[in-house]
Amino acid sequence: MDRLKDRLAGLAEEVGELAQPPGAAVTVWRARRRRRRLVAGVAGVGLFSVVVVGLLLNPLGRGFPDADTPRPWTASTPTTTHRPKSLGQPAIYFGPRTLAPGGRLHVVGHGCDPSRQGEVSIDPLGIRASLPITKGGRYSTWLTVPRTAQAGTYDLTVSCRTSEPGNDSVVFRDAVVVTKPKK
Amino acid sequence: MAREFEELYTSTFGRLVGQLFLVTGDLHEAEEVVQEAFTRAAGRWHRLREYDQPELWVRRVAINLATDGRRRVRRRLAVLAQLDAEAASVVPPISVDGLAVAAALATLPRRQRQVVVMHYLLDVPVGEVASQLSVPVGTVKSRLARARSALAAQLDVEIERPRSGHG
Repeated sequence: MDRLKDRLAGLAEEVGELAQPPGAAVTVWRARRRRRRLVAGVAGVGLFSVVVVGLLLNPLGRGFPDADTPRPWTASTPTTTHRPKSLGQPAIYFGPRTLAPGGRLHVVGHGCDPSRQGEVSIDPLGIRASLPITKGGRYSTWLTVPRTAQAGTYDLTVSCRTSEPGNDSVVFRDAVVVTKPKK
Repeated sequence: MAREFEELYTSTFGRLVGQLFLVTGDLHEAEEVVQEAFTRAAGRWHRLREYDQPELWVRRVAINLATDGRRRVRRRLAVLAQLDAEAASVVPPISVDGLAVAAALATLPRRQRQVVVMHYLLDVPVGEVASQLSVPVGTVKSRLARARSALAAQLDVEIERPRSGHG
């Protein structure tokens, strides 16, 4: 009576002699191809994640507003009845909306007549400055709030002219808050 | 890498296929799982080459692949898709005695064949079989007991009781 181990070993040996290996080179090639696919997959997932996170943190490419980013003008309505079609609708952005004495306010926008200077002011602080307009109707300027300014709410006014004949000034107004001096 | 791996591959592929055939009962499937195990070994060869016996790692992976239910289902679906009835169970041209052993093994559930091959053919102790398969020792012993009685009824063989312990 044979032992089970011997019978099993005999069968395994018989079958093993019939085996047809694809070859070591093929095996190594398959392993490398699999690894390349894995690396490519990981890279693809990583890139996709970066894009998704980027879109989540930066919706429509505009980014979250912060204190130093000029804010869109929302409070006032232009007093003009016409807006230049060729230069686009007048718009103004400024920031920060709240700043301490000595702080700088950035005012930017577009839609003004490039042949005429505009004006920007903060009252009643008495800050007044001309507003150079580029050929494209754009403008950008910085205003500095005096260190002696009292805390309170002040009027920011930006005015310029549209390019169409007979059109009047475009005036924007909004509030700027000056805080107490930083200690 | 290529030379050492090729030596291992060439010297052990046939032996492993023979052993895995006892688990799968299908020559093509045995070749497939051994090839897959070698492919995985090639991807980790920088670590496996440090092992005393890399063949044991390959064999262990192949045995686990042979009893992977999802893999078997995929293979069956592939076979059915080919509508190749013969490919579903390829029995190689072997001796009468070999056919008798293969037929007796074929009556056992695959998990019982797995422990029979590991314990009785490869001399892996019961405790080590349980460890490698991540099942309790009692489960291995009960599978061996059922397999032993089934095989004894079909084959005129001596079947010694399982040896416990590790190593």
